[in-house]
Order: sequence, then structure tokens, then C-alpha cells
Amino acid sequence: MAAVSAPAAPRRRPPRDWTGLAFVAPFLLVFGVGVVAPLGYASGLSLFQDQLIGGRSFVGLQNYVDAATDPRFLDGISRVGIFLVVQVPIMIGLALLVALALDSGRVRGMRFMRLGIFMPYAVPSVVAALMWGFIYGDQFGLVGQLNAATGLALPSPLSQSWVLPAIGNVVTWEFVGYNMLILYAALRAVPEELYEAAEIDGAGEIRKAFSVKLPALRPALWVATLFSIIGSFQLFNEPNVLQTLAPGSISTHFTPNMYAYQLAFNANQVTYSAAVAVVLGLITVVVAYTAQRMTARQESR
Amino acid sequence: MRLSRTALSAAAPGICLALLATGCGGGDADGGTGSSGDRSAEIEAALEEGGELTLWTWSTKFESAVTAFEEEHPDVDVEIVNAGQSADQYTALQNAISSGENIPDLAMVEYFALPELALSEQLVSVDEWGLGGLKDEFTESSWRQMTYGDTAYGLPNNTGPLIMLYNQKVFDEAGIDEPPATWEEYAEAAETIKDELPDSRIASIDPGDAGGLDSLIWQGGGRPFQHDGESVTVDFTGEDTAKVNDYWSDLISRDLVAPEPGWTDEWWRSLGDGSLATWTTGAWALGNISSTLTDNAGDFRVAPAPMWDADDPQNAENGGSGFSVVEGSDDTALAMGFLQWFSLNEASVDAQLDAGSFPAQSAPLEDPEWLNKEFEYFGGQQANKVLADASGQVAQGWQYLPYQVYANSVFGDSVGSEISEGGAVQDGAEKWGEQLRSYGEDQGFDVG
Repeated sequence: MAAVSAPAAPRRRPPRDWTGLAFVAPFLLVFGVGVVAPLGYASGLSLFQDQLIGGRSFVGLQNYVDAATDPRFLDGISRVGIFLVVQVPIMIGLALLVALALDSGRVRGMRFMRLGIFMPYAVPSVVAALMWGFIYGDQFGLVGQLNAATGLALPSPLSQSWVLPAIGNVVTWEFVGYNMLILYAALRAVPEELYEAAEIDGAGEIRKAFSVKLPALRPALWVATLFSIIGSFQLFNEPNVLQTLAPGSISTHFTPNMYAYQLAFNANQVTYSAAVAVVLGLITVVVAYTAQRMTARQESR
Repeated sequence: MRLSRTALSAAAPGICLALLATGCGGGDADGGTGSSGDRSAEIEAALEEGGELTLWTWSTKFESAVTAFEEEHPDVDVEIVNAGQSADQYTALQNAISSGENIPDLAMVEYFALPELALSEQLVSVDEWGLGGLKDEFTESSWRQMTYGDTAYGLPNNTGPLIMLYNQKVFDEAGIDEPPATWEEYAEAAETIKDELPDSRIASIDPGDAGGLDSLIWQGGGRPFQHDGESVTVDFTGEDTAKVNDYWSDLISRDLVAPEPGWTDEWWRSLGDGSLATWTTGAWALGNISSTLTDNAGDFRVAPAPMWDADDPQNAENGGSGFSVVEGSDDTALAMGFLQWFSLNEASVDAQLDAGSFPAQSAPLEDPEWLNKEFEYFGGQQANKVLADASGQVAQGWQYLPYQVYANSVFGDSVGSEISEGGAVQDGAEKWGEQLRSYGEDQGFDVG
């Protein structure tokens, strides 16, 4: 039809080309069904209240007002906040160190090491948490055996004061390899000429690392950090699995995600849980966006 | 769903409404006869006609009883589905009912969860189907735990009167001749064990197990939870409640008991290698310990749980469950027929006892053959006699909250953290109580 009518009545502007839409449509469909619809549903749900006596009723923004002052929710937020500030730099730092070491080509058994460090990422986080749970055991676990063998009295990693670092250790173990791979891939993409030029200027390996490699790594570092920030806010599997071993140390509101889960599945409060999840999502977006602005500003200097 | 059921049972409840006060619901032995006559014909017809039933339970103790039922009723096909353990199953059940899909016909319901499920209209009253008249076939305490308000929402199946499993070898090594009969003696035994065997403790106390502490409080005479219709009381400040909590705080702070979670791999190993000398728990645990710690055959014995007053033994229950017909079942009449046969037919009950279930039915508790059974695992002890006595001593008046599933889930947050850090259990319990009161108010209860 278009072919017939077009030459007959030429328009001033060329007809809109819908070909692009056809290519994007599958994504849009999945995005709509998988992301937009659940978000809309959860946001809608969050405006209601569920009661064992009284059923469901519309409460407007009351759930959000409650969440803003809910000590359990705020407790979880501040805990993952601390976790993020401490664990993410350590993990990214380690990943960077390993990536630089591997890239320098001075490490023996490079392939083996690369694979070995990446391997934990292939272990499902639930399995990893279970495994570390055994290691942390102060009776029959590694900690218990160390204490028995050396006469030390190492504190239980699952006690209230040590459980957060213990979880940080599990998460670091799981994700150092993944971040290392992102950074290592970025390093391999640095053009050889830059290194040659640096060598002609008389730079050693360390000077090359600081002046050539690190600047080239910035975008990759940013990606790795962004994923880790989001991951920290989403913390769930590790503490949830360890909770069985340490119910007195890991509360039901230990992380915001655990709290949302608890509200939805044990506390009969799906609607309030939806509000908590929406707030958590917003906080994550704000923190990630702020981090991005900070790096962007640095880069423009 | 509610409508169709009401329509089906229009006649009998109509009369009930008119009479209102008495004789309805089959609370009395002969109270339900009027309606039971009508409905038993309906149930019989459903059993004749046959059909398919789905039964949710995570326990493996019921397979042979279900097979026995199917042999007797070849036209009825019963599928057992494991929909998760305890709280997981209740969540799944609620989801199924609210979505209206994959609703099971029957489900195993623990006593602590019954009020919550009954209140949220997930279970069908057995009184409406004339099964209320079966009350006398079960122990009084178990029947009461299957009722909410004055209505029974299922038939009791198994109970967990509190008993103490102890490791005879550890007691011998520590030089303890008799298992402690009172909590005072228990504390002394705890000291002896720690002195004689520095790596062993008398027991662990689980910072995550609300049911465990609940039953100890129950046994000590405390009644922190009460409900009547929509009004609820949560009070942990009672003298008897505090007595139990302070007792355990004392043992924990003196390092006489291990504040460790139960049921973990590490915990089973501690129990197996004698690091833990006793386990005070429900009678159902005999089956669990003998099938888990197979290398320890002959080590353990069963004793009554320690008492607060040896002259006036008051016991409690830990766990226990019944079976209920689920609201929204495709064939409620058939499900009721199954429930009755499964709960009381001799072949079915025998199969359940063989699988290690501790009965809520009164008949086996008086059956000499069952009572005299010698347990090889427990050194040839006639353990059922101890259990039956323990069952007979269960004290009355205990209630769970109509939101006990939630209550148990947040136990670790307040009480658990006190237990695992050696703090004051009583403080934790009072904090727990505060949280439960404010939750009750949020949920629309009248909290006193």
C-alpha cells in the first residue's frame, strides 16, 4: 500500500520509519512484562493495608510514612550502608590487585590462578553460604578445629559482633573473581602502543600501572563498583542461609531485603512489604546515580 | 467458595443458628448427632463415588496409612504432596487459597498454627460435617488445640508431650545415677556434667526455637498468650513465665547449657558424640533421634521431662499436629470421609504408630501391646509407658496466638539474641511480647 500511495502524493517529510521499533519490540515486550508491570503492581499494592481482621483497605501513602520511621527497616538500611562502605572497596581493591598482577605477565601458573580466583563465582551463593557456615562453626567447623589445635579462643564468627564481617568475607570470596574478570578484560583491551610509548619514555611496570593501566580501567572500575553497590543493597541469600545457624545474631530485619521477605511471607503484610521494596529500590537508584555523578565529574576534570 | 459450602450445608447450620447457644458444633459427645446423621450419608456417598484428593504434609510418617486407605477405598486416589515444612507450607497454603489454584483438599496443621489458619478462614470446620462427635476418641488437650473459638477445624493426629531423652553413657561417665526429676536436680546434674566432662553440657537451648521455650513456659505454669474471639492478650510478665525464663538465663550465664541452634548438622553431631547429654523435647523425637543417630543405638533412654514440683507434675506439649480439610477443596465430603478414616481406622492408626508417630488418639494410649513395646534403640526400654504418662500430665489452659506463625518467626530477633549472647531471657521475652502486642493492634485485634 505504501509503495503505491507514496509516489502519488509525495510528502514534505519522509514517512516515519518503524523498522527500528520492530527490532526493539521483543525487548520492550519483555521489559514491559518483566519489569514495568511488576513495578506497577507492587506500587499499586503498596497503597493498601492487609489485616487479619478487616482484610484489605486503601490507605494511600500511609505505608511509606510508616516505612520512613520503621526502626527495623532503618536498621537494615544502615547495616547494608556500613557493609557497602567497608566491603565494596576491599573487594574491588583486591580484584584490581589481582587483575594488575595477572596482566603484568609476571605471575606463574597464570591460567590456573585466573580460573581459581574466578571459580567461587560459579558456586551458587546459597551453597557458598552453607559451606562457609560449616567453616565458621566453633564446635566442629574450621574455627573450632583451629581453637582446639592451637589453644586459641577465636570468637565465633557467627556471634553478634562478628557476623557482619563474616558475611562480608563470604561475599568477597564469591565476587572477587567476577570483578577481577571485568577489570582484566578491560586491561587486555589497552592498545599495545601505549605500553610501547611508555617504555620508550622509560616507565617501569609500576609506573605503567599507575599512568597507563589505571586511567584505562576507570570505566570498568565504575561498572564493577555499580554492580557491587546494587549487590550490597540486595544482600539476602548469604545472611538468610546463615540465619539457621545463628538465629540470635541475624534478625529477620538484618537486611532490607530480608525484612521485605519476612513481611511478605511470615507477617501477612504483602502490601507493606511492597512499600518497603519500592523505597529500597529508590534508595538504590539514588545511591547508584550519585556514585555515577561523582565519577563523571572526576572524569571531566 | 464460601457460598457453595454454605449452600451445601444449609440445613444443619440453619438450625444451629436458631438454637445458637447449645448443642451445635458437636462439642458434646452427642451434640452433633442431628447434623452428623445427615452428613454421614453424604460422606458415605462421596466415598462410594470416589475421586481424587491431595494431601499436604512434610512428614514421611503417613505414607503407609494413606496406602491402607486406598486399598480399602480403591476408587479414591490420594496424592501426598510436600509443600514445604511448617511456616513454608502455611505460606504456600495461603497463596494457593488466595489465588484459587492448586488448593489441596487436606493439610497437616500444627497446633500452634491452627488458630491463625482458622481465623483467616483457610480451614473447614469438622463440626459442620458431624465429625465433632468424635471428640472423645482423642486426648482432651489435642482436641482443644484443634479448636478455635468453640469450633473444631480438623481432627488431631499426633502430640508431643514433653519428655527428656538422655545419653546413658554420658550420665554414667559423669556419675549421675538417676535422670533429674525436677528442674532443681536438672541444674545440679548440669553442674556435675560440666565438672566431670568439661567438653560436655547437659543440653543446648535453641535461640531460634520459639516452640521450645513456649513449652517450657507452659510446663512452668506460665500462660503468656490468650485469645478470645478478636481480643488477644500477650503477657510475659507473669510470675511463672519469669520463673522459667530466669532459670534458663541462669544456666546460660553459668555456661551450663549451650546456647546453640538445634537441628543443624553440628548440633546432631554434638548430641551423637556426647557433647550434649540430654534433649528435652516432644515425644515425636524418638523417631527422629533413632533414625538420625543410628550409630548411637543403645546409648539413649527416655525419661519424663524434669518437673517444677515433683509432687504435682504438670507437663506441656512441644509440637504436635492434626489434619484439616482446606477451604476451597473440590470435594469436601470426600475429604471429610478420608479424614475420619485416616484418623480413626485401626489399620491407619497402626500404620502411623509403626512409622513412629505419637498418637493423639486415646485408644492406642491404653493399648497394652503398644504400651509394652520394647525399643531396641533405647536399650530395650518400654518407652511408650513414659510417653503415655507424660501425655496424661499435660496441663490445661495453654493457648497460642491467632498469629503464632508470625510470632515464632520473630522469636530470634528479641529472645534469641538474648539467649545467644548470654543476656536476660526475660528481657527478651518482654520485648517479644511488646512486638507481638503492636503487631496484634496493626492486624486489627483488640489487644489487652
